Amino acid sequence: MRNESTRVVYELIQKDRNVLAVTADQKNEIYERIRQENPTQYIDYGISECNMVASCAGLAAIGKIPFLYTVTNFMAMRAFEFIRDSVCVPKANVKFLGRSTGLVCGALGMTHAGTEDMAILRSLPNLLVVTPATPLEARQAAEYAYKHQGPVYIRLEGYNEPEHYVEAPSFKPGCGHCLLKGNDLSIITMGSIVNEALMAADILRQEYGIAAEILSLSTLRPTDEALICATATKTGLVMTVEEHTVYGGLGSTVAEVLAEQGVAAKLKRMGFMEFSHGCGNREEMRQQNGFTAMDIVREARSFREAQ
Amino acid sequence: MESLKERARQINIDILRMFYHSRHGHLASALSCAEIMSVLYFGCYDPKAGDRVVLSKGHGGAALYAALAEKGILEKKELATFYGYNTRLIALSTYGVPGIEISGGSLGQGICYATGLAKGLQLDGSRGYVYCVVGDGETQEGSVWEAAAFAAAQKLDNLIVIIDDNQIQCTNRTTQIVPMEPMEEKWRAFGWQTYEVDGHDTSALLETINVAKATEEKPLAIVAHTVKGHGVACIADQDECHMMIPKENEWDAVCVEFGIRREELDFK
Repeated sequence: MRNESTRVVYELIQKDRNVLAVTADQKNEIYERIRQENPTQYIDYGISECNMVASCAGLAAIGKIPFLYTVTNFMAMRAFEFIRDSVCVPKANVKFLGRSTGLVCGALGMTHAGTEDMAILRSLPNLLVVTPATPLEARQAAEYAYKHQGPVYIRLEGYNEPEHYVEAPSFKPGCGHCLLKGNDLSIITMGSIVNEALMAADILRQEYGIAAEILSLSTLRPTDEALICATATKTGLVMTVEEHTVYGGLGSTVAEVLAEQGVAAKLKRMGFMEFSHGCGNREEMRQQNGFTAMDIVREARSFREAQ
Repeated sequence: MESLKERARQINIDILRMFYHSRHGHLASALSCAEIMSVLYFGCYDPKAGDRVVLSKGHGGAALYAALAEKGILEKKELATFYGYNTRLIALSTYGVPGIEISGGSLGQGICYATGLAKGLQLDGSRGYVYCVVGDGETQEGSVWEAAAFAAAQKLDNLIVIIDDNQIQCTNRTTQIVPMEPMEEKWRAFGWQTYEVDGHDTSALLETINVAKATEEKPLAIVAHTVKGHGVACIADQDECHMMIPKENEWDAVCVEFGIRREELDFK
């Protein structure tokens, strides 16, 4: 997703001199290409994310459109207050591309695993928070961010996320997607973990005769309340799966919606209860932290059997 | 045109009026930077050229409000609402007040914002300057030095930071908490062109800023030596003057110090 979204920045830079590729000593091959081909539209702040964030609010006040690409924890968490005061209060036209969210940077340890970003960022007024699930969704989110006047955060995870769209449905804030219909159980996801959920749905259907409905939310704020309520009403059993803490992210958002709308459904939240641990690539990290399709199958079955 | 000194006097008197009525707030912080504000708004600031002013030490907010009112960007009568119920002129300089584009309440953010303004103007080939007022206590924030290193790296010679170096922070003298001296050497070591000046001498301040502008390819730091609570003897330079307001029986003496009658403390 990081390549698709930064490719949008590359394309925008060719046609709009106010678009800036910004980083804090992090880049991918596409940002490197911008650095070489369009050096005046590339700013590296060095390892100083707080300055970068507030400084980009200043750039936006001059009419620039900075796309900040770096490790989410150092941007969204270390510089959180700067995002709050300098970006969100004045609705500065700053775009955050947060990489290394979830388990993608497994070998680097929990310092690099963005597992609380949605919880803190969705608390901020004026910030549009997007959680694409596939590279095409990430592309659409970046294109939308450019057209949207005001701050946008895109949770990118990292690289090699599978693409399950030939053509992605057009991105609209507050509009989730149902990827698989089912009547027995709802599984609501955000991000590329949806692929594990889709695999789990296959196993649940073929081996256990359970028809799971799979939904993907690409924004938590605004939330697709209608979609959540409709699936919960239909199945009565809702599981949320997120590569993120269960406190304050997708699971909490769904819980809020169900409670506030008075929908009678049981809810099980799958996500981090503790910090992430282990070492390995994303697949290995999902194994070590209990986020594989088989883990989802096991949780779904026990959730269903407990009823 | 009225002299800078007279403008500074008006700003000081408006500051006194605000706190005479609010009886709360950061009077000493405002008095510390009243002359700096006067010089910036009446000797430097040219919006047509693209100039911007950022008060990073938001605790001097009353001085900024008074300067904006003196400049005609705010109406003077609005100063009477300072610190009052549901006013927009809250204690710390805040986003949304005409002429203020970033809140200064959280220290160490305004200067970062200023580096972005300066970088943006540089990219556009603008001749505008960004003036940013930072407190000496504020320089304890690490982000100040992130901004300092970045500004030097980008050769932001359109960024002029004035350090309101009054030596006192919220609860005590900076030397008693975390000393930040030698201040000028620190900025120089970060690659800035540096100057020192008496922060209450309007002519010297203006001259220093004008001299500094000849510098190329380096950001400019002017360490303005100031007195926290300047001009008001009953609070000036006291270790804990951060939130001090003269007592009821002290205001007559304050009026004598500023050469005004007691009734002039009321807003017209």
